[in-house]
Amino acid sequence: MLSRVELQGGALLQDLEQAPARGLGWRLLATPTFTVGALIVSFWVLAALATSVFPLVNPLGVDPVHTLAPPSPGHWLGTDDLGRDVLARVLAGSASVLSIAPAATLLGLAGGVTLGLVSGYYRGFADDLLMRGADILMSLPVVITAVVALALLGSSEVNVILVIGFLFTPFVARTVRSAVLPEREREYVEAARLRGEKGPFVMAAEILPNVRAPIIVEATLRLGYAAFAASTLSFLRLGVQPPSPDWGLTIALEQPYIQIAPWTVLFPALALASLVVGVNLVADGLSKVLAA
Amino acid sequence: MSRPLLEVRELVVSYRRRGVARRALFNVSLSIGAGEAYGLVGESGCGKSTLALAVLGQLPAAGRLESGVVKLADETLDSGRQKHPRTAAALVPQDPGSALNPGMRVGEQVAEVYRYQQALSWRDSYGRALELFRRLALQQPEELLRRYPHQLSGGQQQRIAIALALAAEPTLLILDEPTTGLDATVQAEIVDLIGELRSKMSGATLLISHNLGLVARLCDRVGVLYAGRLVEEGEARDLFRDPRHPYTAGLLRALPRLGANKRDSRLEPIKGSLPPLGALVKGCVYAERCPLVQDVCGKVDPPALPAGSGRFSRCHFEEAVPLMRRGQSPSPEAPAPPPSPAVLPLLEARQLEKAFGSVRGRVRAVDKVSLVVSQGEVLGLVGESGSGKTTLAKLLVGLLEPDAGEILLFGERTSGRLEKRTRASLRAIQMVFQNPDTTLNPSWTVGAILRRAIRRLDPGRVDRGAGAEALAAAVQLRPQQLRARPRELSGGQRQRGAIGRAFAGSPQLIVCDEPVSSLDVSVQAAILNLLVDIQQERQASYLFISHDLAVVRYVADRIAVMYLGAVVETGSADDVFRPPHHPYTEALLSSALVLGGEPKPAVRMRGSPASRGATEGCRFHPRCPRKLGSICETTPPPWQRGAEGHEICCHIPIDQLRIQQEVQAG
Amino acid sequence: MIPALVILSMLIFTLAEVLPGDVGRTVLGPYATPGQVAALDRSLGADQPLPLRYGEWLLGFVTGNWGQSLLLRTAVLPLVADRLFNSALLALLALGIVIPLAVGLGSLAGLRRDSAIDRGVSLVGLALTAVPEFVSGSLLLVGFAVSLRWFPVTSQLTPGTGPLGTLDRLVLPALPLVVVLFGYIARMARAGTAEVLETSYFRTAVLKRMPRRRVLFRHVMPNALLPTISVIGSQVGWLVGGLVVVESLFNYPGVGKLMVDSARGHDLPVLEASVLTVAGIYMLSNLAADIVVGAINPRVRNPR
Repeated sequence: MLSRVELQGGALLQDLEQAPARGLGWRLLATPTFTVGALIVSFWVLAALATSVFPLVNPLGVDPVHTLAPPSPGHWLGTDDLGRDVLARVLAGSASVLSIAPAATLLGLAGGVTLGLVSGYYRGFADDLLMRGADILMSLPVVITAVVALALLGSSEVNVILVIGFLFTPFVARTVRSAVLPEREREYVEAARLRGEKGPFVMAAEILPNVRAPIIVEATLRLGYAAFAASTLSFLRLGVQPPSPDWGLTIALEQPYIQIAPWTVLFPALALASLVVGVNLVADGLSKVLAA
Repeated sequence: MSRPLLEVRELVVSYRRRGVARRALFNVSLSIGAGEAYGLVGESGCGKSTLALAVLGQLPAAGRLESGVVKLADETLDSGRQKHPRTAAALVPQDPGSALNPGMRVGEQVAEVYRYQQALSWRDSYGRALELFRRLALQQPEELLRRYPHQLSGGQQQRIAIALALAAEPTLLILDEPTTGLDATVQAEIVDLIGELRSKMSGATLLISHNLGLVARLCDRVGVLYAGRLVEEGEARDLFRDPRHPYTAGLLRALPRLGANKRDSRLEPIKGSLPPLGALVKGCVYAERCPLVQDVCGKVDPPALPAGSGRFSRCHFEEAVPLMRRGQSPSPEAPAPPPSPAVLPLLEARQLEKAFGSVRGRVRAVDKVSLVVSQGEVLGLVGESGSGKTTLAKLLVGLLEPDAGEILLFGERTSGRLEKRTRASLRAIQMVFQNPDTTLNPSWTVGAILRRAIRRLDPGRVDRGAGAEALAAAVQLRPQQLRARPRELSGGQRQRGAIGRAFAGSPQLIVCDEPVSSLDVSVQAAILNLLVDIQQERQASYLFISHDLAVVRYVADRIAVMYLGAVVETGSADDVFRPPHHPYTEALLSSALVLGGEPKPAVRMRGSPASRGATEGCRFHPRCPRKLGSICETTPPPWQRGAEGHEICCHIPIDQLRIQQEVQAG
Repeated sequence: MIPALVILSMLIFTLAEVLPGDVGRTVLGPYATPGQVAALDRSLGADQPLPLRYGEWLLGFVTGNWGQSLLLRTAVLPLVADRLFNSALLALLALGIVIPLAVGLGSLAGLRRDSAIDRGVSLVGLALTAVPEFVSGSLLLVGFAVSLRWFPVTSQLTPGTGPLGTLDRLVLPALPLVVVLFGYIARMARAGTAEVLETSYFRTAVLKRMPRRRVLFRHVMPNALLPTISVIGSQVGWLVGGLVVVESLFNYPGVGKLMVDSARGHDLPVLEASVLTVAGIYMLSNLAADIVVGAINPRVRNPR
């Protein structure tokens, strides 16, 4: 994004900025934040695939003799209170977050993009109504509402996805609407209307391609928040249930042993932190590159 | 001249972007003496703003002063030292509104200059600020001191930006495009003001603008900048009357002069385009576009050759410039006059009304407007901001729904709502928009845009690909450009694409809303020629909206003048631009900055733009310089008929108007 | 705001009493007999029509009659109020740390764009904000409470603990909140400041040759901080969510823990009351932020 000063100092700089989209992949890789984040996320995706599709490790193998053992050559990261290998559980735990968060994000996107487009394009009564509804939903703190909903609807992976996806919809809708509002005033939209194009066509074919960038950035941000929220809910024992190696759940269950066996909490915590940080780095890198 | 106040010697400035340094200014030298006004002209991207920033020591982080010297008063800038700790120059930047801190009252913004630079007390500094406001002809200055910038009009913001600069009592005053974005009449007031201030200033003035008329009016000497090089310099009067560089001559020929019409002259665009930023060219940088080009031009960079006293030109053949033949082949047949209006009118608007706003403040954007557009004619619509011309255009086209009134297409009623219009009427009326950057969908290729337009507006045509190619050829776009996205094209090329799109369904009427206002002068000429030619070929009509009187005069057969939501005069282009005309038209014409000839005595409107007429009488009476008296306030003025087809809405009897205005014009 | 609160209360009530099905069943669980369930329903008034139940509940809420906790057998209102006070302490401590820190560092980063400090602040902010509170809380526990033994492992507030002792117990739970909030607020402050530095009016101010301090505090800061203030208001929402987690992790007797416990224990009166209260406070904080922004922003104060 050119600053005003640079523009005034020479509109010449514009022709330098016309780097076409084919450079996008290379520009992304050149951004350190994106690359580091992508590496981290890829590592965990591989771990999730490796443990769920090809069971290379055994996260459920109970060993009553060697419970709460510190890290050793046999168990690189130690064992937990049931004698299970911490490393195996850490690697396998990635699958839980990595299946819930993307699903919830997609759900939120589907609803949010549609509502945002409709609200932003038609304005008027529909817009007022939808945005009021969105405001009310957004005024409920996400975690609290999720807690209440899950406590009463029952805790399961599916419910977590539904609740988080539903609660994210208004956020996505607001972002999409903000991006749609200036676009709909543009002359190419007026030209489309003058051709007799109908609403759905204008929204989907004319406007949507031009709000791709904010949607992508929002999607990656939501993904980070979804991972954050999902793991928080499992920590509160309202998400997945034992014996899942889910990181949040593990931290909650091993918490009583924190003084005598801190490794049982430490490693899942580090794993979760790294994943969520990785997703946010990807989001940050994307937003920098797409905004240019 | 005696020791100059500003001296720039062999200045080289470059910008570093993604590791590559690109040169923006190539060995530019100029000097300005005390009490002198120097005008720097050039099109967008030539480097004029860069020069201003370099002189101020305010180059952005990516910019570097590579070599050369800037000397102002006793401060020197060079490659070693690029920023002033204290500069003796002041800047009035391009967009005055954004130069003002939105969170601070304007009085305080001006007073603090006095407080900190001259160590005046709080009370004294406000006193001086008040004085300055008065000098700048700001109405109700005491109240204005307490206002925030967003509460001021464009003209007021511009004056306050000037006040900020003057308060510093600078050695050098730099004005960067001081009238861009202002209405013609407001522009004229600001120009008068600057002219007056200049004569009282002891410092030097640097005026940067792409508007040649403005520079001619206000400056003593002029320098022409092209692609970062100063190609010509001289006294303003001499330079514009008798240019000695092919680029200057080209610019002057591309401009429509007030009085020129498409039937008796043709605009000459400059072929080719600006070289990309920082391109190092062997020989003369203008050679590829120059009609006088010879072998030596591609080999040797022309030095600054003297071209008369106090003038130089960077051209090997500067003496040949006055003899430059008109570059184009003999112009195609002069456009025929439009068919007689006795034929059924193409479009008729009757008593259209449209108002905006809440219950408290309803603004009548279009107030009972009636208009007729005939087949095959170009109707020009002139007016300033707030006149309602854009709203009227949108009503006619169907993008807005009228509150009252009718629109008739070929005598048949057409719905005000776009959704309810028939396919046929959509085909018949299309639009060309102002902003080339957003007129085409940036995510579509040009070819896809044209093919879609054909699909919707010309469903009979089966081979849309061929249709798109035909349209591209008609607007002089190459077939390869059909595969390009808008961002890969220049402003002029995008506008061509938009024109092609408008013609996809062979419409009868095209509403052109400021189609060339955002384009450079040289490109403007090419697009205007295209519009004129294509209109002739396809026998279409235009409703051509513009705030630029010279452009409208060139293109239009008939003209309608709008003020505050109503039409105040209609007639043929010739009739409207000569006396008798409506007093508002007179003021508009008087505010146009004309090149060449002696400045005529100015006719200025009274009051400020915000005042509106009372609903019963003439809407122009608060500002009319020829107001008769109370009749103007109480009774709506009648329509008076002048020559055939010429109507003026005014109380002053038309013959009296003619005599008074002819005397005024001298 | 009132209509929004009313709708909110309807949502909460529906969620709590209607969705899971039978109220008595929800409270007693799957192992109670139908007879026991019916008896409880009757005593709770759950067999009455829905609008009536809602009306009664709402009326009770508004008049201060919040009923009895099913699990703890005490009055709900004093319980919630007491816990709310504890949570407020924690929240205020967290805000008191994070706001000056984030705004200060963020603005500094914005002023020195692309410097080491800017990159550092941006990166740290980005990284930290992503870490859920229970994660940073756990790491802090392991680090400071277990290994270094600087702070207590749980934060039970026993009566009679003086202010210093209370502070001691509040620090560790407050830190994860600080960590999460820091990133977003710092980035907003940075963006706001950097944006102002690009403006035409900033250049005008510099050209006026005024002392740097004047330019900074009178021209840059007021405009830069405007977007940051509204961000702080909305961040309170995440703060509330964070409270829930942090209080559970550290066993701190706040309203967040109360909500989770009552949710898990199906203690409906407490759940409904506490959620509505917290949501209402969140709305209030957003409103307060809007008012503050409106008071500072001259465009709002003085319309054209």
